[in-house]
Amino acid sequence: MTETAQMEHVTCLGCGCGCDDLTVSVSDGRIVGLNTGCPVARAWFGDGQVPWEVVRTGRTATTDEAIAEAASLLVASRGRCLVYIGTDLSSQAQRLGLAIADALRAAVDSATSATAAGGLLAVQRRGRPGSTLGEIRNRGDVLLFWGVDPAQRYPRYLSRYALDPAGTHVPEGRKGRFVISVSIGTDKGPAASDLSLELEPELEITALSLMRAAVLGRTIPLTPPPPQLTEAVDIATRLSRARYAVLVHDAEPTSQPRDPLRVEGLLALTEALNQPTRAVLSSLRAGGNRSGAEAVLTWQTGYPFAVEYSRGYPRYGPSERGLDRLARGAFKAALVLGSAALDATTQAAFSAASTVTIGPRASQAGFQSRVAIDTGVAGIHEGGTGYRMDEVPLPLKPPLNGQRSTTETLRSLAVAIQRQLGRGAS
Amino acid sequence: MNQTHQLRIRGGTVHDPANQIDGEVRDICIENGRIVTSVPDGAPTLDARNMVVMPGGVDIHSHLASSSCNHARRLLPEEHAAAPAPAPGLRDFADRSGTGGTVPSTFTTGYRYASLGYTTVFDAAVAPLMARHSHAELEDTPCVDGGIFVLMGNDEYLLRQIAAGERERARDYAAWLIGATGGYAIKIVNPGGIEAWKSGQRNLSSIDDVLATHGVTPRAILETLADAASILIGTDTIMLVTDPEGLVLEGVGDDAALRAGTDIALGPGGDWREGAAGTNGIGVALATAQPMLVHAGEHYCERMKSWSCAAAPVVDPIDGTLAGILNLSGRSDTANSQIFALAVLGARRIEQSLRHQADMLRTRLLERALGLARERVAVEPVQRPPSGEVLVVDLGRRRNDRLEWSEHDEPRIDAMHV
Repeated sequence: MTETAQMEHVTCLGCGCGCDDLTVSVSDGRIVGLNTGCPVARAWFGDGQVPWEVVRTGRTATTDEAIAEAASLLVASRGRCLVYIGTDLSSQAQRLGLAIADALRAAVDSATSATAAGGLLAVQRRGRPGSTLGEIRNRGDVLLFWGVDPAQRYPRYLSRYALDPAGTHVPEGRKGRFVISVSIGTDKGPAASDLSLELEPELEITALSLMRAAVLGRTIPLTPPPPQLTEAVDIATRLSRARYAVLVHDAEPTSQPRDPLRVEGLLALTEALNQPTRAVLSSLRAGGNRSGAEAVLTWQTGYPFAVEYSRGYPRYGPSERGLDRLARGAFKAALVLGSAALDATTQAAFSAASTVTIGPRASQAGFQSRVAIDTGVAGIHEGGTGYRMDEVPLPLKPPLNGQRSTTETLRSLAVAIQRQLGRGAS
Repeated sequence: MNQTHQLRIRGGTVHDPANQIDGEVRDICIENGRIVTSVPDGAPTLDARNMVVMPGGVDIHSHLASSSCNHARRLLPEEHAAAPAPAPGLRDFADRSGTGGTVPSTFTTGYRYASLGYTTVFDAAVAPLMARHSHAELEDTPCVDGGIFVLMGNDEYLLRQIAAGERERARDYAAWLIGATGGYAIKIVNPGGIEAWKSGQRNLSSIDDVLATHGVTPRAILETLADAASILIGTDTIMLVTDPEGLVLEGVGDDAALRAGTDIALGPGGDWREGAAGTNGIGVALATAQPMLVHAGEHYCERMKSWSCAAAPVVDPIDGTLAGILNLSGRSDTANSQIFALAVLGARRIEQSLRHQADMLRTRLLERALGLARERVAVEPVQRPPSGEVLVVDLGRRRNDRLEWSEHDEPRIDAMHV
């Protein structure tokens, strides 16, 4: 009979909540139990089985052969290659990915979605009144959900942070919090709320502007005022009376096309609310340590995404992302790190370039790789650091043993590339 | 055998304030990591002409590696774009490119500190929750050693302990935070004022303003943390406990002194009998059963010449035998004779506490034994618990009663001959 071992305090990177209170049961190298019903966590951990193949031009190869081939291929395309930082990587692996990109004078794209990128640009223009999720849990007494019900894609956000738990300044828990639900078109707010409003997408930005004006004590005369906008202004007044207002929005793509000014409007409103009271904006982010990639990119290059090194130093190109340039045939070679959920056009573009793929399920990616090396999933087969959506770094505690570590593989590749570049220069 | 590493730094303009050298052009010779008068002509040479040669700078208050620095970096893309920083082209080094501006990227920060003559830099404001992030940034900051100071002036748990008058708990928590975050120092910024701002009280403007949510003042926070810091660090002193044979069982105290002590076996596992180690505090106290202060040169023990040691015997209150030695040691230039008084006092306190423990156990044993004898209960033999000892208790006509006890269990009798 095989014994079942239990590992406590395991961190989940399934979504950006970064729940680090999970107990994972392991038997015979498989995950057989999880102490949460969270569907995202269950899908993320699964049974923990991943392939451990190494493939070089369609054939099984040794890791050393594959790394040598990958290094030659990438060095030959120096200055004309793309490094794509996908998901499910520890920050240690992300750092090595950037070291390789720097040496290769590559362009760097990452799993930061188009919508999240827009939000980052808005933050760069306006600043960001934000907080950790713990501050939200301990202080938030008025919660505004703007076009999002976190229960859908961030299942434990409400029970761990924003709504249910008792906080140091909100000892009554749910009863001590006033919930406002705003739906934007088909992007619905939570059904259970103390106050709700439905807005047509075309009224959204006007509503945010009027709300900000109201918070700042100004009125903008509109004749006749549409009833929804009057209600929006009432919501703004309610927010002004909060002790600590929390505005929540989804920074990842949703069913409704997003007005690019939404984040800017929410940031401006939150900022204005800090005159009469305290308020923060909580941006819901997906998992796989994409927030970590933004942090690493920022400290290594100064920019959170869309970086390229072709001139020998990092440059910022948020208006022209690497994947778009790949689709136009701008790169000879590509290095895909981690898991990559890509559309058919992008997959075809990776198949057309000489692509090296290193990460979980690399051998099963939906595109042709010249070299594919399967490694473990950060937080399941390997440790390191993962970032929560609020940029709090968490230690990863892998419940399973991997057969090939991502960081070790990338370190070998970085060394092989340095060696070839050194030989080329002398 | 040992390879000798030698280096001549030739022709630099030397600035060394500690040795009153102010701009002299001269060579500096290094052998095995130490500055020496000269090295042979064949030694490797570093040409430092037209360069300043100085002791490495230590920046004890910078902001270079924290989540707030990273936020600042993210907010300033236009500055980075205006300040590209290609890799410096160092030999034998996988050097990295980056960007400058108000908050440069980590690699660029390291190269710039090095070019200013710095070798060590501390980030002076790191929230405990974000320490892991700071350490990652420091790992990506080349050329300089780095460390962090840990923010505590608005810590929720600490504020609660101060409000409850739990000074010791506050101190222990501060110690734990320093250890858990890998920090070098306690940092206090606007004590209580940040919590006041978050909870809607705006700010605190005087040291005696009351933080409404917790009922504490900035003065109380400062005093508590200052006390904690002075108790925890910089004492330069360590305390050791040995067994009756002079073998060190445990050492606690100032980190740097603990490390220095471990280097000369003045730490757990070290054997300090006079015969084994030469004349030293522990050895003499063992031999004479008297408290002893041995200062620097009084040691007949080469490795102890720069230390002062106060050793006091601890006597077992049950049988009067020597239970061990309590020893306080410090560097001889900072330690004074007060450590002698402290060692004696400490030993007396341990004896008191042992006596109290023994009294409690004796009472429990007696009650238990008498109770069992009265009931004439036959007791199953029991396994000896790991911390147990065997005592022979003479209960008059009942001979050879063997009792086992441990601190945690009820005493048990494993055989009774009535």
